[in-house]
Amino acid sequence: MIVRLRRLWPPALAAVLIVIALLAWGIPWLTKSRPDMTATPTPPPFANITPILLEPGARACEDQVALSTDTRTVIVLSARFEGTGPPLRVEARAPGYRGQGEILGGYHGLEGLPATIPAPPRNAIGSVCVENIGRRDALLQGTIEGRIQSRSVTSVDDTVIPQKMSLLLSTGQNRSIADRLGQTFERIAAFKPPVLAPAVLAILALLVLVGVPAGVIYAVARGIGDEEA
Amino acid sequence: MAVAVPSHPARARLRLSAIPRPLRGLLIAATLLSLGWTLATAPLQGPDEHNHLGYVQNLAETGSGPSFGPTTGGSWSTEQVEWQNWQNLLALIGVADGRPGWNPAEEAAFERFTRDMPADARSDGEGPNPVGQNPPFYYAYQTIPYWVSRWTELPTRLTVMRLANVPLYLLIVTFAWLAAGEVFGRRRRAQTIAAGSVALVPQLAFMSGVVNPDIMLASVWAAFAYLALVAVRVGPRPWVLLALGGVAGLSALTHGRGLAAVPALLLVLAIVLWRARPWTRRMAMWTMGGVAALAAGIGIAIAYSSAHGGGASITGEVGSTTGAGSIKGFLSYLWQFYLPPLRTMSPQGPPYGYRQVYVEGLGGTFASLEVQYPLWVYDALQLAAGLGLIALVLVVARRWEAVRARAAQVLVVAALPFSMLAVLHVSAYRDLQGPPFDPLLVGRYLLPLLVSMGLAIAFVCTSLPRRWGSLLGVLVLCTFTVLSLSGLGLTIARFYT
Repeated sequence: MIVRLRRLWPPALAAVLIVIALLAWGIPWLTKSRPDMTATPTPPPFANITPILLEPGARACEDQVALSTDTRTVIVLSARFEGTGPPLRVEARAPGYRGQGEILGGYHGLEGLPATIPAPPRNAIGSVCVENIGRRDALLQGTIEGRIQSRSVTSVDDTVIPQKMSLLLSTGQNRSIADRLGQTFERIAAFKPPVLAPAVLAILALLVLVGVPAGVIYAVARGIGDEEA
Repeated sequence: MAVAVPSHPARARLRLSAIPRPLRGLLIAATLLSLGWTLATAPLQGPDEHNHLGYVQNLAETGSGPSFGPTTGGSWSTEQVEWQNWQNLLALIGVADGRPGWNPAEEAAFERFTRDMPADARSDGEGPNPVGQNPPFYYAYQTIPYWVSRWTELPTRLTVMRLANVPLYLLIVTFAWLAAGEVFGRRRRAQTIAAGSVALVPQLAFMSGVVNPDIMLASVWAAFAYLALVAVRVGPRPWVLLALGGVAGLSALTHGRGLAAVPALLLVLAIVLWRARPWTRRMAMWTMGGVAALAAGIGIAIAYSSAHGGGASITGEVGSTTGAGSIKGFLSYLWQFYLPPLRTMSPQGPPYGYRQVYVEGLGGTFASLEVQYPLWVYDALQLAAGLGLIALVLVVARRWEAVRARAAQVLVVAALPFSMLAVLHVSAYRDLQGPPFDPLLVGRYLLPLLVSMGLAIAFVCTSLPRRWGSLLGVLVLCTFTVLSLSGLGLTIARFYT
């Protein structure tokens, strides 16, 4: 009995430690509310903002934007400026779809400016335009950084500019990973061979979650526990 | 026609059962971790993975490999560029707010391109590729999974290539186990702690899930560590000398940083030959054979890299072309890397030292360095590493006679980190002397040293009273396991939410 206990304490301790640590870390990870992004046509600059100036009535458009059926919010980013910014109209377009939203004036520099739009009826590649409908100039975040290389091109009043307008799309909700496990596996599957369907990925994830600790605990039992006996 | 005779099933079972049970557990854990990282890391988001993929594809498609210098072609093939464009894979590298393009409309657009792809769309990535000067060993290895999956789309080929790292990862774990067997004898506890401390290091598991030659370099160095310890035991036998030279040659053929195997090999040969006095002519001949194997590896690597390197050379990250600096400056840099600067010292580059490289790097910074644990995790790891080092010093002092009795093994185990760190630090110091004034030294460069680290941890654990040693061993393995799994979780949250 004592020999058995001596042999068992290392794997038992390993199992308890791993389970407690994974629960302590995993539950907040699963339940933490996070922004639900649907696309990032041009993410914010890594280091340097190159502002895009929109005079009153001017319109900046970004093409080749992926619009999904769960996109409800377009977020543009204001560049650094003094005072407050003018109102903006945001318009998303795709074949058979046109959705508009507005950003109220009075915002400050370096803010995320969300505009709510109606969800597109189907997944599509389209464009997003931002129009200055106020009486003052607007300064939006753009980038010319070599590392922000995306397929989209930005134009102001139909003239292509070197900057790409920073643009983020989301569902407009904050949700936890636990609330969208299926969606998370679908997103991972989008970059994998067809055989790795979301259900297969879910099984593999479970296998990793259980199998890695099991392998380590087995190694501890046979490697450390057996010598303790 | 000759037909290969399949091995007898009973014999196959016998071979499987020959794997010690603790090692089996570690190999299973390592395989699953590698699978997890392969699936969790978004495509091309490993360190420079887009460039490494471009290298493999060009080598596989043309048999030549891309150039580092200017060419008339592109850095990547048209197929890869289209994939990067349609699934937004380039803009998010290192940019935490970026997400890959998972929209089905983006997938469909890329599929439309692949259906009507130009004939040369896979082979026109002839450079300039920023890793084009790297020697070809790892990339040649990766052409095998590339060709096996050549009929599939590029995302599938990348997944297969990532999975091809699993055998390299398992070799590292196995060599760590075998090296521990050389040092501690067939004591399962010591071997389990040593091999587990290597297998479960989060950075190693992560690197096994992306296309990058660092995993091959770590594998080659693990083999070298084991062979060096065998050489100490059996002496300068011909096969050992040739194998050591051959593996050192493979190191040079894998990466410019692999040239650090040269001083390591010379140190190991010096130790082994010193112990084997008086020297014979035969011994000298086989030693020359080992050195010739190394020279062949270096020669092929230089020839390849010169042919593809433009103005650069094989040395790449270890061969800065900037100012050479001074001995005094180097010593000042080295001091400030590990210790707070003295008042008489001028700053040497950005505040970047052992914590960023050893603690944050090996402990784990994932994707293109933008996925990190909370700060308190690194603080705790730094404290644990410091306490571990103090424990190592105390244990060595307490068991000094035993350590002296095994001086050859100790010197061999120390020769590896000494050689690699010397090369890395000299290179980083030279990088600081000119633009971009940035020390090119990150945690994954230390992966070749993991076997030495695992042996040191096992030495401390086995030197403590049995119960306490086992407890420490369990704590180390559990910590690395939890860190590895939580690193996977952080990476999933970064790319897919």
